Amino acid sequence: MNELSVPLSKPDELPQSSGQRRAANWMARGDWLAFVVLMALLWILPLALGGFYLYLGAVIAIYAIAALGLQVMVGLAGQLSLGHAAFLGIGAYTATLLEKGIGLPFLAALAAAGLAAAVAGLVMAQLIRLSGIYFKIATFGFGIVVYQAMTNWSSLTGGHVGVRGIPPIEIFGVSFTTRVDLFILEMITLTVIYALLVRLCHGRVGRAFRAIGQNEAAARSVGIPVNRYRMGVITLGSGIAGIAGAFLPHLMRFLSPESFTWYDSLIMLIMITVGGIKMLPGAVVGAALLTIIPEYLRDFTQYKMLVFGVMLIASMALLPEGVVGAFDRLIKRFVPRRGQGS
Amino acid sequence: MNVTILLLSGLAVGCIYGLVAAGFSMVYRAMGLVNFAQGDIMMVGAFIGYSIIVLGPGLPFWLVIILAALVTAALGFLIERFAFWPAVKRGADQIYLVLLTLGVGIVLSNGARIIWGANPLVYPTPITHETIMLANYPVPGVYPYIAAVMILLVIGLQFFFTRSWMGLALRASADDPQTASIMGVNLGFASALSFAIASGIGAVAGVLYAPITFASPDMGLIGIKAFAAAALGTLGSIPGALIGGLIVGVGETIGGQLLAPEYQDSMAFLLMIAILMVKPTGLMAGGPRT
Repeated sequence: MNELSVPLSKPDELPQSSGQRRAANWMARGDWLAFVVLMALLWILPLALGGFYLYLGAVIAIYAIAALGLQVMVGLAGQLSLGHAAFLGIGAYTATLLEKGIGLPFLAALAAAGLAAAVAGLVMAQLIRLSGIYFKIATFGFGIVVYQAMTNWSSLTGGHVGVRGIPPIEIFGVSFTTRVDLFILEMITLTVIYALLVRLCHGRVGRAFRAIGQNEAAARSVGIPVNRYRMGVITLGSGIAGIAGAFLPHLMRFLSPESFTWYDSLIMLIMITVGGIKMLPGAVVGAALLTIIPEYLRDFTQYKMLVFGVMLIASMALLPEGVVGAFDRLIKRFVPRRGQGS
Repeated sequence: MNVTILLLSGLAVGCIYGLVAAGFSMVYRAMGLVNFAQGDIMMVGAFIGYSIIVLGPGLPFWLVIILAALVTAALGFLIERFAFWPAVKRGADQIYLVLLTLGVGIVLSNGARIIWGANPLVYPTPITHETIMLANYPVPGVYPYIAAVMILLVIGLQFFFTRSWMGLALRASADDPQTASIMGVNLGFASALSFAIASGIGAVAGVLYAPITFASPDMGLIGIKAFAAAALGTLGSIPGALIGGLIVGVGETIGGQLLAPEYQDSMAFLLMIAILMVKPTGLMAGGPRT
């Protein structure tokens, strides 16, 4: 299943056959096509429908950004993180405290949030010297440590009570106060990050990530500096989560550690799995599905996690490549192509 | 706070972690599966124990432990058969397996929330409220049970794995599946049995833990400390898991008391990371297979 879904790409140093190059181009084209379709839908639908859908769109955008970071880490490079919500939280607290505390403008706070989360990711990445399975448990532990720091370091974070009175976004003297403004800012961020990631994934670095995700030993044997790339991808994924986190308090108008629990890490993992692991569009689709579905289960809030759990198991059993993978297959059935598809 | 009392409660909690960790390690060794549902299986075991007490109010506590272990072991057997074995058999990758166990864990903890309710339940048995005097300090009445069960389980498991045919078969199929299967061991059954035993041990831990705290659907979260315990005692080693559990239990109780009680959960992981930095494969000899 593994070998089928993504053909193992070789690094640039090795000669590529024209068939392989064509396959790679076709893969890139598929990803760009998905990018255009998804971004169009996500830009247009909330703005056209307005009201509650705008709010949903704003939530989806935040989690889509975070899930994209996680997808690059877990889906592509195979570095499972069980504490992704921690980086979302680090981003959210960094941005809010800087904006509220010293009145830093939003863009600077956003950059700082990404940077802080990336640094935290780099710290966690030092643990890759623990062998595979220990590292997974350590990422879990990292999430718990950060959550406990957020809840207990009351003098800095306000503890369980949380932070209220989030200042409005201001960029170069123009304030963005309405939900439409916030949505547009989020979507610009999402579009830029998504586009950069698609580019990254089809370049040399992306191929190296994929090679590591499929077989670390093989990747090392063709001369990829595996550890450096692993640290790089963890830092990248964490930094992206931090940027997503900076938007969260502006949307919720409130910030508390309860948005960054172990369950939130889990939900983001479910997002990328249900959407389609190993595929960038899967992160966006998964974020949309897991945000929208609970809204239709309002009367069954206590069953939310149960539904997510069942969704996770069912999608793994029935749609091992997620919604995007299944869709991809459906299209390929009707549009036959030569060469290896994505 | 008195040091003796701290040490004692650390050891008691440590035994619970150790038991869950032992189950975690057993499953890892038998199937190469990092079972993140182990803590949730323990939680289900605690609730099954609760139901047994409600159904048969006169039953002695030791019988409740055994019955809960048996029922949970049967449940574990089914979970292994239907959820995990198909994926393990076709060689699914680690990330897939971890996500699958996480999914099963979510279903178990939220299923329990629906069956037994979201509120913590107090075991309706005298042992919950009893205290015994130990060196002039009152300690919960369940402590002697924990000590006794721990000793019995260590002896029992040792005997099972070194003296009985079945235990040897389980170890053989964990260490060298091909040779074991040539010798006539049914690998599928062996891994299901390992999982069932691990679930049973988890249930024992749950029933023993419930009188100290409560039985609640979130109880499975102590399973995460059991992971830390299993990891620092070398994954796959049962004695390592038990020792790791004691280290985590005592470490977090005393460390938490000395430094900051609110960071107790973090303590377990910091301890694990510190030990793994020095000994990357844990305290026991030999490392994990993968």
